[in-house]
Amino acid sequence: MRRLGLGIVMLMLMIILGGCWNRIELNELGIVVAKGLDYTDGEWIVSYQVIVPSNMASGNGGISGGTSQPAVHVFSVNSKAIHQALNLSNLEHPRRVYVSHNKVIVIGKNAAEQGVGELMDYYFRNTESRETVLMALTEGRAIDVLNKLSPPEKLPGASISDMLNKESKQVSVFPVINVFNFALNMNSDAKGNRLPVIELTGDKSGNHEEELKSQDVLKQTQQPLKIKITKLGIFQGGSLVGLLDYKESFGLSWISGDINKTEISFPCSKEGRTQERAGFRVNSSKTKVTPRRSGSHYVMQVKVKLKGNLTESTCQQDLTNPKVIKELEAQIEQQIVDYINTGWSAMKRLKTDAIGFADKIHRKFPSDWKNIKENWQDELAQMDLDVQVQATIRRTGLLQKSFEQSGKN
Amino acid sequence: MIFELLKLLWLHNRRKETQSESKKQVNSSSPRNNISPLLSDKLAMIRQRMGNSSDFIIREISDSSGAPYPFAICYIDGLIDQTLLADLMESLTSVFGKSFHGDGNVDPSVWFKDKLPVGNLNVVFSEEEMLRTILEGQVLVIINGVHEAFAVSILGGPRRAVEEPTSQTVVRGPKEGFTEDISTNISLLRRKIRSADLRFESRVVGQYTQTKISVAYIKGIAKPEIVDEILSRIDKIQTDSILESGYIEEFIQDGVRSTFPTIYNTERPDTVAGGLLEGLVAILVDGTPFTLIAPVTFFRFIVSSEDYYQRYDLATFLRIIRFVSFFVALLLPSIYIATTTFHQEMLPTTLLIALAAQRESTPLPALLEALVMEITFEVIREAGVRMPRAIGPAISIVGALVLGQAAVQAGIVSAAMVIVVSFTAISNFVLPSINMAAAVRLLRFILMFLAGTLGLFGILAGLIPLLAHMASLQSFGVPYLMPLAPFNKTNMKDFILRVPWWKMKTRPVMIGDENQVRQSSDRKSYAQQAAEHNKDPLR
Repeated sequence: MRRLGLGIVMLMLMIILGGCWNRIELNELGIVVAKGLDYTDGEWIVSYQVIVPSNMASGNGGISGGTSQPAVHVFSVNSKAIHQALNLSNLEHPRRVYVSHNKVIVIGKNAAEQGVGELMDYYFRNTESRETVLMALTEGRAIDVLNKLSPPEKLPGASISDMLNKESKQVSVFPVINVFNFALNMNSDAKGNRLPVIELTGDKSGNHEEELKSQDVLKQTQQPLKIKITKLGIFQGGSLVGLLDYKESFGLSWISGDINKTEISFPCSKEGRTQERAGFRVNSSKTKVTPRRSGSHYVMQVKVKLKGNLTESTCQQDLTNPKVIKELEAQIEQQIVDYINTGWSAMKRLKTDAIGFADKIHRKFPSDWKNIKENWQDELAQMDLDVQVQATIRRTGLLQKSFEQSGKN
Repeated sequence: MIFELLKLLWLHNRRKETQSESKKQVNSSSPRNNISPLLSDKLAMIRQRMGNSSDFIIREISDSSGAPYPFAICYIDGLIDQTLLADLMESLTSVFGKSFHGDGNVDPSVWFKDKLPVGNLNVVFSEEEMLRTILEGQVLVIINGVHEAFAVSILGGPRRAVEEPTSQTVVRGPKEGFTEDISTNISLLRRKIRSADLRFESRVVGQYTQTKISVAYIKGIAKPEIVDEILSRIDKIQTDSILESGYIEEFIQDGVRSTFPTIYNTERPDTVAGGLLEGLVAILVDGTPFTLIAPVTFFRFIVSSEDYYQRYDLATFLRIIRFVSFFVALLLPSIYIATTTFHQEMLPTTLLIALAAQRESTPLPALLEALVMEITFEVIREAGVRMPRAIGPAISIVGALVLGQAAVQAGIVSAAMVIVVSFTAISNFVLPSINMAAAVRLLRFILMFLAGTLGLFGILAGLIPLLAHMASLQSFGVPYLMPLAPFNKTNMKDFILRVPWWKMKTRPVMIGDENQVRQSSDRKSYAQQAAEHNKDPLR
């Protein structure tokens, strides 16, 4: 009996001493779904897109599903340090801002030019923020992206992160980079980084931007303005050095091997009519980059192997003929070489190694690396690419001849 | 006067001897205790001891009716079969009685003993025995001039028929259940195991209740040490009453302070028979359908007898389900509390948002909410068990609609909590054994408190000592977590995985050690036989 009593006392003590530890109820949490980072006048402006749960789910007991209010609330905090902003958020937000479930962090152009080293430090020093958060860049201010709704999704932050993920899986033009990868690249030998740029595209005239802040926009079937992934930002170290367009970004993706699945269109033959084009769905691709020494400089051998299916064709050739298939494959290869060269020249223009060539050379020629480390940017400018692409068309689809061709015969 | 003396003497003896010794004396009493052969003396003695209970009946027959001697029959109304009693009276008074000629050559006691036309006749010598036989429900025949009395067993009276057990139902398997009558229960077991090696050792416990207890085991399978240990523990019980096998269970079990049961109880004869054949010992108690089996391990409480009747693959699947249910019943509310109040980062975002939306309007913290709901459920459940049958449907409507639906709609509790509590409750009912389910019910509350104060750390802080405690438990020398700790490969065959019968060649280690082999292993394997059957479909 005494031992039992002792046990009960110990249990009670445990409960009292624990004192509910860091207990926090769900309805005291402000769950952040997207975060924005801007920089003006020596201060960070951290914006939070916080979920309003009662407007989110339908089955929430007593309160009827709030359709009249948006599911998120956006506010910004100015502070000298990023983590301090989290603390200061309690001055203007009734709930504890909870960033563990953050999906995406959007970096404004000013902040990106200022450098995101402090942001990396904040992420790796603290436990609550996760390093799996996706990163995106915007040309204007981050807050201007965060406070826009993105129909048909209820949570714009989740919508941006889903968009980035889907893009990487299905289109592969822009890479998907999370905080962990960004920090990894930042501290690598190459020090370059790529971030997709999201922006509002469409008709910015009139009151359209204001409309997108309101719940009413969800009632429309088509919005004049939309959030879209458009460009690629190139970082050297933690700072933004330039922007690349769609084609250049696609080229870099081929070099870096970030292609998961994508679709390319190409002309049917070199000399044929230009409007005769075919579509090709890349199902798998592999890129192998090998540094070679040539004289005192280096040549990067980029070998790309890809396989896929023909998805469209207005070609006049007979697709049952293996020679024609070979010809088409050569066209695809040519197209990809074209992309790669475009990307490569853009990278040379910015003098930034955003795809980790430095690490490849460091690994292959560790002793050389010590010498070229100091003037790596010059070395990069003198570097050449040796691109070899091998494309395989595995299937031509259910049709053999194109409709135009069959019409003739 | 002489009765007063006898009484004093008896009381004196009683004080001097321990109970077990006096029992022994009852069983082997010396003949011809100086008891008066006079009918009137005996009757006066019995009347004095029994008092004026209205159910106690003495019928005196004088010799004028044609009986050779005046005689009397004593019995307790309601414990005997009235028609058989009429037959007995008939034979005593008419033809049979008249055939006795009281010439000096015949000892009347021997004559009556040999000639009385009844099946079950005991000769009783002492006053104590006479009382005992009457109270047991036998008819005591006292004949004037004979020292001894004759106890005739014509048991009768109201008795429940063998019905389907209500506590442990099966879809496939025998539908009969034990009753309150120990002799019926013994016969149910006998019918299942028709072996001379099935032995029943009887004891009588309880100063007032004089409850019959029968310890059943199969000689040659059950370990003699375990049988002896159980018998000796039963012999050590000193109590005035045993009304249910739960009394015995608490008196003899190991791990007295543990909430985990170390003795299994069931009202299914097939479960008991299965246990006996594995080498377990059963304890049948008169007056209750619940029979005890020992020694048992933790995992037997997750096994249903149906597992052995169904296909082994399904049985294995069901055991996995029961294991999962065990952990759900034990842990689900505490994990819910811990994750929603301490470790929100562990939930998937969409689930977190859904839960957060539900908790928006709830006034109570998660721990309190869970406690309120759990206690509400316990109240409904208790009400469901105790209330009159006729009101049953009413309470389920009140419980489900008013407390569940309305509380959620009023925003007092969140829908997720109702889901958690109801799933926990249902999982608890999956456990085939009621007393293991009860242990889980109690432990759940402790774990909820720990989860509410320390989160997942608290749950672990509760589970680790719990596991240590379970590992330290024993049931009559068998470790409680037997096939796992200590690990045993043989017993694994009947653990979560229930292997097909033709693969279960041996009895469980440590329980059936005396006679390991269940199936001779020199035969061709049944799988090979089956393959041969497949070759020739006409065979």
